[in-house]
Amino acid sequence: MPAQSPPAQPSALELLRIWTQIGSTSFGGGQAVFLLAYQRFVERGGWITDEAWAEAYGLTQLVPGMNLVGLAAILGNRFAGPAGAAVSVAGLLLPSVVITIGLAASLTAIRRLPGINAAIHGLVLGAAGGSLVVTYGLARPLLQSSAREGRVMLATAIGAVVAVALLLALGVPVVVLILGSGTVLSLLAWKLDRGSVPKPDPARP
Amino acid sequence: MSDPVSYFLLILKATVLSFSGLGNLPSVHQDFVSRGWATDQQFGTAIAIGQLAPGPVGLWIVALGYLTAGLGGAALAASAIALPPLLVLPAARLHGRYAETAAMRGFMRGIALGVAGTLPVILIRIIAGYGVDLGGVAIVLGAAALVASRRVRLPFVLTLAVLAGLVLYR
Repeated sequence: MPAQSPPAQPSALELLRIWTQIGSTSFGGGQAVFLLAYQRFVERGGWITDEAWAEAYGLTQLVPGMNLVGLAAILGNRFAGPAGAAVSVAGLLLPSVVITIGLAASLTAIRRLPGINAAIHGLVLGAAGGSLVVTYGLARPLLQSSAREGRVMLATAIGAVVAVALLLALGVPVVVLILGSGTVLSLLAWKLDRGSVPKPDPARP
Repeated sequence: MSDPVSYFLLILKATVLSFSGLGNLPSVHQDFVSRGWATDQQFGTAIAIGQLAPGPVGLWIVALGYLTAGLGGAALAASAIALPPLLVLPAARLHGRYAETAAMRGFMRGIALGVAGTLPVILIRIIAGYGVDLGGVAIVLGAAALVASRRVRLPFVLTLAVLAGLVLYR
């Protein structure tokens, strides 16, 4: 069977076009962006394999900030170097930023209409309720992976969440709490990895 | 805006310690409210806009930037959140040497757990900023239940919340 040449990689210009389209049509948050990007790059374009895609996305989770921005950067860099990364991020963010500002400006402008405040009141409460669920979605896999590493790790993980919540309510700076939690879990993981957490040994007197 | 440099750096600081779109919320809330740069209500509105607009939810901070400091605030916020994810490029090269150690994994898990612990506290503060009444609590819990069921799409949940608001607060 004759060797097939791989599909040409998207140029920076094409990346800009693709990400702009994704950025302006992805209603539903990061999941929508992820799905649209997967369909475009892996399924339709065939420019990147499933494995490479998963590896790229995994990398974005190691890095702070929005995963999807990191994904646009790493894919863009892969296809068209730093220019590709830059236009991909711009394409993803600019339409969304413009629409976001537009929404914020519209809400401010129409605030005087009767009933708008009531509508916004309901909207904010609904969005906050949805966000609480998102928080749980963030915590659950963390606790599950902690559980897989033993009871000490799980207990510490749960303790970290509770302690952080209580201390924040008391006014401790968020940065301190987050770095503190990171440090505690890091030390524990390191100790467990080295096997130095004492375990009961039935052979010892 | 009185202090654009601090405005930018505070958002950057919060985003560097977050791994999700709402992850920078607790830190920004604490820093901005204590300086009188934003109210709970502005935060609440910004979060809602973040969920309504296309693109990642993390753009809520751009809405907050606009609500608190106009186009300048929005631009600063957008720049601050666009920078940290770009660390993925050098990370791709360093990956493997540091990312896989137990200590590193533990550290990142700890950071994420810290966000998970602080986020509900801040969300509840924002909700309580509207005054705690039975109807409000019902909207919050109802929306949470619908989203958690995964059977109802977010735009529909938010529409119901708007209608409930009109009924209760008109």
